[in-house]
Amino acid sequence: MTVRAVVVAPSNVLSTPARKVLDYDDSVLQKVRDLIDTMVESPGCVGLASVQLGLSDQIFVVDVSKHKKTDICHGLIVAINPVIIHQSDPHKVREGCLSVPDFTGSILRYGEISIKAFDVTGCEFTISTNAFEAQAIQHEIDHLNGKVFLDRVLDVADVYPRKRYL
Amino acid sequence: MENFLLRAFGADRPGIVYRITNELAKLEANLSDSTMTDLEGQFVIMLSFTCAAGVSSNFIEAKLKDGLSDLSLNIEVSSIEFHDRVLFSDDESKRVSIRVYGADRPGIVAGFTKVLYDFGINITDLKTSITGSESSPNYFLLIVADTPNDVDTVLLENELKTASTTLGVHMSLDVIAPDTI
Ligand SMILES: [Zn+2]
Repeated sequence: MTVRAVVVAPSNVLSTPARKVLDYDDSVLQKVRDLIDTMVESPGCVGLASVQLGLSDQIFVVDVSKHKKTDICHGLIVAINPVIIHQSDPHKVREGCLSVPDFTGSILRYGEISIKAFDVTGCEFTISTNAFEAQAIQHEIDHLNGKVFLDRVLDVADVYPRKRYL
Repeated sequence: MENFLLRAFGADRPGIVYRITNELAKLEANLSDSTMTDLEGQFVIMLSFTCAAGVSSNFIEAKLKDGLSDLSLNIEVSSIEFHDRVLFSDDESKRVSIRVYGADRPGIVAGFTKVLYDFGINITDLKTSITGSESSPNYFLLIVADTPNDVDTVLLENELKTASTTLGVHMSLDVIAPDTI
């Protein structure tokens, strides 16, 4: 069980696109374990991207099964080298992030998405989902592309200071 | 450190923000919250900042007026106390966005903000704009407000709808609670 510290923005590792995973070896498995352990141990955390642990690999984990806005749910998702292959139903949501503790922001997310990714053994899979699971996956893929939600804010009324975080 | 609030406005042109913040930088002022916008071709600035202890608001105001005399700005600097933001709760706090539009008439803002006041809701941002011709002006109002968790948002929407009927304008709202991911 390894719970690692979550990197807080601004930070180079958060603003740099993560590298593709090429070898599906034990080190990838260890990073996935660290991501899951840290996600589970962080209160209210429903997803974590490798860059948030200071690792520059295209890996994220998501588990929204306990969240009230969840519709379609795949339980614990571990995705390596993920790519969005379909997105529809854009709408505004208000989002916060463990790596951006002092703000929340209203941004555009897609209500329905499909992604293609690889599991820890290097097998390709696709997931089609909606609602909160779709939002969480887009949030994590943004992280792997070097973006936090603040990078998507377009208007002055769309960013809110937070008083205290969890 | 001492806290200050600057209010300034003047005919809009490129460079106002740069010139003001550059003068403040020369005084080693540290900017905090600000809001700046164009109102009827006047660029209006409200800006809070901190400065080393012992620097007075009069001194800062005089420095700014002197350094920016070519911009013909109206500038006021006051010493203020910074307060904690009024937020009803943290993560679970609901943010309500209310959009109103329609033919302009007196009392639109008062009509809607009365409802919010009655519910104990705190406005955090508000923007109004007027467009259209002089004979048929159109009004747009956006209110962003922080809402106590125990507010019944269905009841709130009903009361706002009643206000919009009375005022003959269109109203829609969204209540969004943030999600940490
Ligand atoms: Zn995040």
